[in-house]
Amino acid sequence: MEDNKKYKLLEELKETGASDRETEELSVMLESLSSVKTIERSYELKRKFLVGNPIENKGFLFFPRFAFAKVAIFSLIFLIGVVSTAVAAQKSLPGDSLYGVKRLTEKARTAVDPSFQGEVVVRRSEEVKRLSEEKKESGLIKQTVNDYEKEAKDLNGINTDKIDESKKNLEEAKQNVSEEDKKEIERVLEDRSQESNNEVKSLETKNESNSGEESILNQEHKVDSKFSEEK
Amino acid sequence: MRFNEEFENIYIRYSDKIYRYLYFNTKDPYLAEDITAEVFLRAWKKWKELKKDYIQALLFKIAKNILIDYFRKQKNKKQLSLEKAMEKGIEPSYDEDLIERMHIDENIKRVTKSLQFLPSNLKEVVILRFIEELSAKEAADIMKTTEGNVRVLQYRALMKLKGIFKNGR
Repeated sequence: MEDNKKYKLLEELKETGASDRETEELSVMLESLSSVKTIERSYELKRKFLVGNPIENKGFLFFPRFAFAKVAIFSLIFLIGVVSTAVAAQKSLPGDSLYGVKRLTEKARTAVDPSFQGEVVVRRSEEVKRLSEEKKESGLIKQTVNDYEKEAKDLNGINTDKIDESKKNLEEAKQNVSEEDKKEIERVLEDRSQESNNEVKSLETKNESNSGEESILNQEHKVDSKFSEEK
Repeated sequence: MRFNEEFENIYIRYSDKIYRYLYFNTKDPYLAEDITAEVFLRAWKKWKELKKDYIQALLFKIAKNILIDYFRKQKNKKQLSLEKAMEKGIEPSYDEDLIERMHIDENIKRVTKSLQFLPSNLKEVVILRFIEELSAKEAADIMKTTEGNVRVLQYRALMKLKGIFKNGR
């Protein structure tokens, strides 16, 4: 015990009625009592409590040693959630809450695999067909037809099988829709066939120009041979 | 969960005092360690609300409350929440070297034994004032009494202790 603290305590004891002799004896006793302050737990034990925090008990997920399991379980639940939402979204129609997810997964897939664009075009046409069968409101049908048009343009004439399949769907959808939507579908179909005609034509002219180049080469060759003959 | 630096400093500074207080009150070094952990975990739960300049007395108050609770529950054969945690396989650690020394050291043995002959309020005043060197004000607050009364009790306790030291009981 520090001297000033001990002195203060002894003063207090005197005030409460201890005689000088008693105070002397008590002073010795105070020293004896202070000796138990050597009861000090090791630094390692204290660190263990502070770092390991071993007794906090809120169920197994809250223990540090299960931190990895905690992360793994939550990521798994999250992953299952994302995957099942994406799967469920694939069957959705325009106007459904999950339709946005469907479009998003399509974009992602086309980014990785451009040939998927053909499938996207067919999907739009199927949506128009299903909307027409379910007699959904005209605005949705028109919107989807326009979306179809955009996607089909992006396809750029490749994958003609898919275009044909999608056209068939639109032809079927035409039977069930209002006059206005019918006109819109017909316009889009007409535009599509014109565009594909143009594409065929441009391909043909490309071939022609190729054969033109060939003939020039032939003529040059003939001139060359004439020249050598004259020699 | 990690504690903040302030809490860690307070734990390192005061946990031995709390441990000794609990040891002299329970005579069980293991139980004292368990309750010490509980004291600081409870303090950590309310860390933001606690007045840090008064923390020593607050920690002793928490310790005292847990102790009272523990002895009451013991009568009803209920367990400390901490013991339940241990049953689930969470092992708190103990300073075995220290515990062994506490059982051998003559001086510690003598003080521990002598304190057991004092009535609980006198024992408490001896621990708080003469061993842990708390101020009379802090001791009064923990013991829920006045400073004047603490001074009377501490004198009476020492006189009684003197007799116990002399006669061995």
